[in-house]
Amino acid sequence: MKFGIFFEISVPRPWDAGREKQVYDNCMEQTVLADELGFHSVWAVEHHFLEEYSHCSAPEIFLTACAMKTRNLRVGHGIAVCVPEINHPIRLAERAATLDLISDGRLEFGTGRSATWTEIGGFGGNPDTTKATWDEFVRAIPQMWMQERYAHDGTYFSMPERAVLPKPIQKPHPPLWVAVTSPGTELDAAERGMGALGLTFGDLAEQERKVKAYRQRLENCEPVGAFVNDRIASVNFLFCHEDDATGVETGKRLQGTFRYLAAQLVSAREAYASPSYASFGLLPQLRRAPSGPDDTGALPPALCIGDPKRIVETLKGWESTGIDQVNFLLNANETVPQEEVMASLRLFAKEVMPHFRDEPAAAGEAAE
Amino acid sequence: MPLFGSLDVSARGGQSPVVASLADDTWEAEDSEILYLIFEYAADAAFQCIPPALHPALPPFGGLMFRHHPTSPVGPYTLAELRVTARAGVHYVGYCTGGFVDNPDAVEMLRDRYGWPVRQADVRLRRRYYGVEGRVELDGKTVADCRLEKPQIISGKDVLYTANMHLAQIDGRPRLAQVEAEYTFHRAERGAAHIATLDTGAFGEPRLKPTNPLPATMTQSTVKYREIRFLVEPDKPALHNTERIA
Repeated sequence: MKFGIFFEISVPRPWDAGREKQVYDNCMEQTVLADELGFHSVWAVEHHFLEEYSHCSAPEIFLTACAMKTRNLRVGHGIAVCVPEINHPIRLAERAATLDLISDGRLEFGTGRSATWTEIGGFGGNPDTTKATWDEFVRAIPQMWMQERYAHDGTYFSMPERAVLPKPIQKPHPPLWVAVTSPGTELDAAERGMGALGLTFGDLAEQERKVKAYRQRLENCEPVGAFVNDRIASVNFLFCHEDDATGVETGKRLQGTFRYLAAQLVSAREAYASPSYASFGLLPQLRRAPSGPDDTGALPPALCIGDPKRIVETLKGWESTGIDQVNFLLNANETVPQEEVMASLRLFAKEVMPHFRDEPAAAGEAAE
Repeated sequence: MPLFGSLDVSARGGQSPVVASLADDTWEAEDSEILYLIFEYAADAAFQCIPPALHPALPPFGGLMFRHHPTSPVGPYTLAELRVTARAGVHYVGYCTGGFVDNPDAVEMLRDRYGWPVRQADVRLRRRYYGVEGRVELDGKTVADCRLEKPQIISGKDVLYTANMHLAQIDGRPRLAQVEAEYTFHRAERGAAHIATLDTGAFGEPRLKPTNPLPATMTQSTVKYREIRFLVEPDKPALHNTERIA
């Protein structure tokens, strides 16, 4: 099982001079350390307008800087939003290919459609069609990369024949992923031969069912790209400390802060009645529904918080579900001091990583 | 930490309903119809219109909701209310700034038992050839005139109604009462929202400025109103200042 780090880049108020810069610097410092410690990948979200929760609206720029400062970490779009009002598919293909070149073939291309009215509405998008636009984009983008020239006459975008440049260094193209938040999206991923980039905090039994269903559906997939990315990743919190009680306490604060911020988001379904968003997306999986104003919901099970022994046991549980990778959220609203985040990463690498088979990341995984 | 509302509770509290006896039982209304017109609000004003106990939704939004209940403990009534969506801790709620009801007995029940800030007026919710009309006439003046046009059938699963929060005088001081209901949907429609008139001042908050209308919904459902279970101190964060009373 491989381990990655995953950034929302949440910035606490007040956003006075230097605050956002400091958070970005902290994330970069964590990325450089993760590379040195043997982590597999760094992922950055694409979110817009999500005050405090995520100030990561241009992940391809952040990831380019990550690529320049690291040697082995794979750089993951987690995710690029495939909604035409937010990103034109040609621009997605161009930027991602450039990042693949600059990173020397280390790009993982995650795709998705946004789960909040804040974002979709902010760009004038239509929640009813985001699933269809995502589907059209993920079929077109690999072709833009692989064909010298590409033309498209579709439902949500069209283009005359042009050479979409540059082409990615990974051949035939970088691995493709889908963000899985809504129930059933893992099957959408499988049907298209794409990796399932889990972004929710389900329990082990639920994850095992998803993995089984994904693998079964993958057997008859029709890949949108030139190869099948059959990997499944899950997300978790990480806070590792020599003292278990301290680790658990700090980890609870970390996940509590994250969940509190997440609850403030306006999901697409909350504001816009649409069959396209039958669930809240990321939001409800973070907690069971609170019963009242004083209720923060139950703690998600199987979190990677505590001392190394506890985290090893927890990750063995996740490994048993059949997932290939766990991506860790390291902080939320800077609730954990930077030096503690760095120490947590070091301790995890020293005491936890050796318990898991972890091959060094390398360029050209697409060709594996 | 997320933003908090900045409503002057002490000033507003004096105008709020005085609860004589908090609702401690449930009642159910079959064949209820609910029209909900959703729109965003200009942010700064919206922040000023919800109590400091609550976090504003970002972007601020809410809507004009019409509820027609053919049956209730005091007979049939139709209600129209203005809501601002917010968060009580991590709990989704709609803060009600004010509203109107067409049945004087219902006005009394809703104010006395739920702290619902409603007054009597002529409230109509009716189907028309183009969709659904919601209308409120107060002393001969139209304070709300809106439509759902071109309705299309959707699933009830696509519709989300959140609990109400009412600022009321409870036990001699301002408190927020959370009013919860369970909905069993029989039919749901979605259509374009058209608001010809909306006097937000009549609904208790002239500062609220609706912008960016979203699709409106119309549902038929069985609505079950619960007993009041939560009271919140209005000027302190709800997460740590909530009393469970049932």
